[in-house]
Amino acid sequence: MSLSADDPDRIRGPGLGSARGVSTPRHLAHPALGCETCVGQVRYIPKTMANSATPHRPPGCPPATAAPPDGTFFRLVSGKLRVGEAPGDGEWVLPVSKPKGECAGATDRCDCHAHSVFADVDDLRRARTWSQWVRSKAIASLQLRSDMGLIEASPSDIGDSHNDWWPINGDPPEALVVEEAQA
Amino acid sequence: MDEVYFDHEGPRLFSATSRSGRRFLAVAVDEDESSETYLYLPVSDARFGEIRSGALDLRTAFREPEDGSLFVVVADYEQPSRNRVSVVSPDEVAEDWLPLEGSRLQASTATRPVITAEALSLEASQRGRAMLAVELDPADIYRTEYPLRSLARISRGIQDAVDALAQEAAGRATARGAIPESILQEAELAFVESRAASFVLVLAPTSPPRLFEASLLVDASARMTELIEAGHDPESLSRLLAGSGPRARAKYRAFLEALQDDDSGASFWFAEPNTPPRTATLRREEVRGSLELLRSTTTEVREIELSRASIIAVHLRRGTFELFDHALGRRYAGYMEPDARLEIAGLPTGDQYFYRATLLAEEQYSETTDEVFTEHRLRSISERTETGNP
Repeated sequence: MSLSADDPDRIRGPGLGSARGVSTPRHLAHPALGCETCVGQVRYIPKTMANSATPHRPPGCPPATAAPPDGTFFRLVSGKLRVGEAPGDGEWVLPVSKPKGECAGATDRCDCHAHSVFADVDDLRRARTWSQWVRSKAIASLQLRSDMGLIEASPSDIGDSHNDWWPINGDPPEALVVEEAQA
Repeated sequence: MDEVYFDHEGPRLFSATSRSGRRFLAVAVDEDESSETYLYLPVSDARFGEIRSGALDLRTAFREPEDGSLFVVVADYEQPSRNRVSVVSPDEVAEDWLPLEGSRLQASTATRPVITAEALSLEASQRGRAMLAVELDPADIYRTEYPLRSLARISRGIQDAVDALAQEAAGRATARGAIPESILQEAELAFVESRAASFVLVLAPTSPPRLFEASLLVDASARMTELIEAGHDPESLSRLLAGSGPRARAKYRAFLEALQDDDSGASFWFAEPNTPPRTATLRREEVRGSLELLRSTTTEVREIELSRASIIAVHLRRGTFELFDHALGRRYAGYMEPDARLEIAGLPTGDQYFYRATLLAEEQYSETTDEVFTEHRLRSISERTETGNP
């Protein structure tokens, strides 16, 4: 059964409404990426998505305040991966194109077109003490260069190093598992 | 959804309120190909404040729900009609679904009503009484609470500084001896209440306002606000300090040291009825700068180097030390600066261990007699490498 963002019966992720999307679309589209509705600008189709449903980013996405990334970031990947292994293509499916999660099918939410990446690995380690879901994941580090899209800090309510990363180059970034799952 | 504490392509730890107003703390615990599972903990506002601020650890919160039960929510994305919500007791929850032992949120949480300078001003007008609010913001306090020991020291620092400044405002400044009773009475502050955020002491004069005449407390509070504000500008601070007597400088220094030892900045809001509030803020990093300037521009503070000292006692919680200097056969005791507190932690005590130490000797003025005495602060301490401590 397909899901749509406005399906009233659908539990949005955790079941009580959306969180990350409340502030999107926040800004004007970033000029470097363009948008679906902007005439004369390049339409963004990541390689990993090229053969599946096309992610139609909403107007103003990514926000004009997003900037090119540069540096090492961290994210959660499959708990089956071991230290030193590279996450496969399946780890780079945008949330909007995943079959589950609050972003599934939520094409109007800009953050759902972005990957979660953290500048500080300690944020992920700390989250492991809170959540079994997080403990069941491995932690991968990835190198992002300025030609790999746009990024914007999007810390949680207690402040962390969470960033939304909108990839522009279809190739998956260089990434390696640095810490295995704990459960 | 109210707040998200951890997000990874969707909220994984968050708080939410149902349509009926019931608040929950929820955490992601499991998933499979088509579903995600969350534990929802119903919480009262008071319990939520404790959890959010870190006073209550997450594992205990989920193991001991106020209502005795939790909700397991399974979101089925393949067939939303099969979403499931079940009520379970904590004993029925898989052990590894619970947060780990000792895990805490530690988000700054206002557990008292928030006050602003404008609200204080309105209150001053409504009461027909001057009001002073002092906001403290130590790095490691997450609720509208303050350790009583530290609060007593800071409160004393405020009152002593205001007393000394009031004496100067009255034109009767003295470096030694008791401040006249009439000045103390007029400058005396009463604790009214605590407010958020982080922690705000709301104070008011104990004496009734003097009509048609500026009160000493108003003048002293204005001067204190100027000193705080000058923390941004060394030149202004130097000028103000040069115009202050030794007692006022010593009392202001003691107040700043109390702030420094708590790793806190301070904001002052002073409001008189029907008058715009005066505000000034001294950030944490500016406390240290103000103190250094204060010390460097007076003769009342000097540095002492000890080359062969033993630690007699250390109270990390109180932030106090006692050293014995073998070279001069003298004991020194007092408060430790934050850096020294880190350095001294774990160092062995006893006569067989020798250390190098740097102290500050600061002149302080008795409130009751003509006596001028010396207070000591430990600035740094390190092991003597050449003596080969056992």
